[in-house]
Amino acid sequence: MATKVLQVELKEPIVGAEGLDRYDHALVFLRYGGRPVGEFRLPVVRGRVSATEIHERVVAMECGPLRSQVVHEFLGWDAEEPPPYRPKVTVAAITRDRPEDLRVCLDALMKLPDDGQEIIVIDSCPATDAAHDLARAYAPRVRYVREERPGESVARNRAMREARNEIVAFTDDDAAPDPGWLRALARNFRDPRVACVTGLVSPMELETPAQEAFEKHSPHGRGFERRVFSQEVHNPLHVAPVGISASVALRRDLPEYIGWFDEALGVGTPSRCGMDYDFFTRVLTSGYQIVYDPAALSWHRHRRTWPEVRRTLFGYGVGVYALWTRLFFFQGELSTPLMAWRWFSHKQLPGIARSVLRRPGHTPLDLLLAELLGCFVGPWAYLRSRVALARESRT
Amino acid sequence: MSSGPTVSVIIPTHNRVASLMRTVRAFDRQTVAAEQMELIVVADGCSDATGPTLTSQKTRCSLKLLTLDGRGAAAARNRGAEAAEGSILLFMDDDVEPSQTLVEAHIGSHTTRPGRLVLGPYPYSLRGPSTFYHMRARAWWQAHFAEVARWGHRFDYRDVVSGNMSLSAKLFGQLGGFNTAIRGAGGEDYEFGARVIKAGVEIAFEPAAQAVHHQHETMTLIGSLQRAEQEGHVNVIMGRLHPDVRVDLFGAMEDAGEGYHRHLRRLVFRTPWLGRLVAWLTLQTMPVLEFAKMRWLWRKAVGALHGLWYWRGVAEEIGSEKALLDMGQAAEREGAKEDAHEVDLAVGLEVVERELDAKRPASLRLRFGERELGEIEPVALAEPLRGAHLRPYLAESLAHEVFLALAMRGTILAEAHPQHSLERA
Repeated sequence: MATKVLQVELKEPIVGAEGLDRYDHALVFLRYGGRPVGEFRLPVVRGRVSATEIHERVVAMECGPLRSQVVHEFLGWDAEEPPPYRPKVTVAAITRDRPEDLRVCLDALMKLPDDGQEIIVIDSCPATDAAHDLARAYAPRVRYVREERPGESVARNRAMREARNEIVAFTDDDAAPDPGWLRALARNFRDPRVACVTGLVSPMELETPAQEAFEKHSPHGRGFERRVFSQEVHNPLHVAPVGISASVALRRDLPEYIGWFDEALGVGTPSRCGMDYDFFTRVLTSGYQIVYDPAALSWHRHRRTWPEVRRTLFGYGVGVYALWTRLFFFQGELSTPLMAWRWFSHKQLPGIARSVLRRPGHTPLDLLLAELLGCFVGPWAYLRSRVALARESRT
Repeated sequence: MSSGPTVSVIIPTHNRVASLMRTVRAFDRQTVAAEQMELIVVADGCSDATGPTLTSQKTRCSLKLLTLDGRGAAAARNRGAEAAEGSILLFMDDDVEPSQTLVEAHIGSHTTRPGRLVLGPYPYSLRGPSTFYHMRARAWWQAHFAEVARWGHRFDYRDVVSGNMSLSAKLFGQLGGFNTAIRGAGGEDYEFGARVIKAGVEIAFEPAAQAVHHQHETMTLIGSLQRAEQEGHVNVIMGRLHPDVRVDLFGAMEDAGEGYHRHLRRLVFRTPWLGRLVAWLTLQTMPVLEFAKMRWLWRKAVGALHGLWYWRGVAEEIGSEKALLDMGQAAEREGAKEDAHEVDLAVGLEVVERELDAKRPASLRLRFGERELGEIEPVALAEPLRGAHLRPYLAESLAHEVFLALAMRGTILAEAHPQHSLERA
């Protein structure tokens, strides 16, 4: 029960794939001139997927981004005006005790075209010197920074302070950016209203049932259409469609105006998650725009084992409710209970019902219950997190 | 041997001495030589220290102070233009602070192509979070400049905002200056823009002519509502002076804008006392909505308030609802139905672009060989179509139709077709 991720470039003859006996499905990821435009699943029959099958599906599918690309190419029209906007970027890879993933990430970063970016590795509260030694192997192109205080938010704030360039682009250590990732993120900052840009995060592999379940239930990707978010047209509290912290870029001076990443949220704190959603909300409620650009592509290695996925989903439940606790009690956002109700009644409850009734395509019940349990824990976790922070700052 | 200044900077001002001095000092720091510039400040009905502060201010370039007795921004700018010696007039508001290279950028644009109206950006200086109202106003201005800066933007009369604009003195004279029937401040630039468009003057946006708008210091919701009322007055005046814009303003009378606008209009015209009561009540709830962070409701309330003030301005200027409906109906009848120019993209995009640059039609019907793609409608008081408008329009509004046309010709995804020689049976 595994899915093979296949990449197909539509400006070249489509080629089928063989030797896929281990897999029962293929996830065909489509690109046009290098730009991601869509994806679909095909069953793998007798270990192969034929080029004709792929071609037929491509021709039949209603793919908005593909159509736009084809038309823009015909018109010789680039939505981005010349000359291309290429500000200097600091790429920050936050890592904690995952040297193998970090190596894949750094290898991917080495393939980025050189636009004068600096690359820093923030080693968050490490148990060993593995990341340090690894980063040294890539020197001088990669700078190593060790942050002793635990927590993802702490590490990100440290990266913002260490950065020398005007834009800071974050990648998780278990994500491998595509070569076009940085340019696609950076060019969206040409509009001064844009304070933050997020990218498309697609699964690197779907080898295990755990990875497939995770991708099905809470994929990192937010679609293949470029979207601009602002509080003029969107509810700034509803930031799930905006993007994910595994691939996000922001202006370095942004914390001066909207504050830093909340150190009581995020991985490494009792709140587990929620740091990115909190930041996105603050960007939007301060009147700035966030752009989701699927052309900024990176590949994420989902957790391979079932217990890890369960823990991750538990962490999501905790993080989202921790975030809502912050918004409600500390930022006066009185509509958060409404959002909690909507999530429960429109997504969580129907999901559980489908799971119990064993409807096709249901998410396994234990994962949903893990997420729900996290929701109950969330508010207390956030308060505990804040108390711990206050205590730490006093000593 | 200089024969006087090239650029006359005209700044109308009304009781904003601190802001005005910031602007004046910024003009004193320009990259352009001081002898090439002159500053003309027109103090219109100023009761603060504007006069004495200016007369005691030392500037590198020549500084003239003129006074008027509260005639409004239109009259103030015209007065400044009368006294100007430069061949280029640069209008700037007293709450706009120019960057160091602003004057140079304006001159550069005129040198590139004389005889145009040059607009420069002046978004708000406000960074970070603020009151709902400030953020909304900032977003509006930023959206405006982002739109106007787009390559292939089709300019219309509402793009002409006079806080950072320049044109030759000769052209200003030919156009007849600003319309002094418009009192107060607000809308006189739109009316000027209408005449600029009608005269076929080229409008250009110069992104390098950067300035910063400091109005967040003085801008309030009430101020914005007063401006909406002013806009109501001006729109009626515009409707009288420029019949072709009536369709835009009042043509679709029965469903002008959002559904509730019709009700607001009726409220203001038929039961003005109730309209005032509703307005007052809504105004009282604004701080509560903001405190409770009820953004959606706040936005709706702000929209309704602007509507009420706008229609009050219209009502004061036009008198009765009947007169308004008459104007609207006249607009429907008079609507110019010029035949749309037809083009076929199959002959090649560059060919079509050249044709548009030569013909400058008001509207366009687009074909691709046998297939109809769509139309670019005539827009009241917008510049006629040019070659540069074609591709952005196709890319953004007709992408689906173009795609279908390309698909029918079999020219898409040709490269992706699997090569059968590589396929094993």
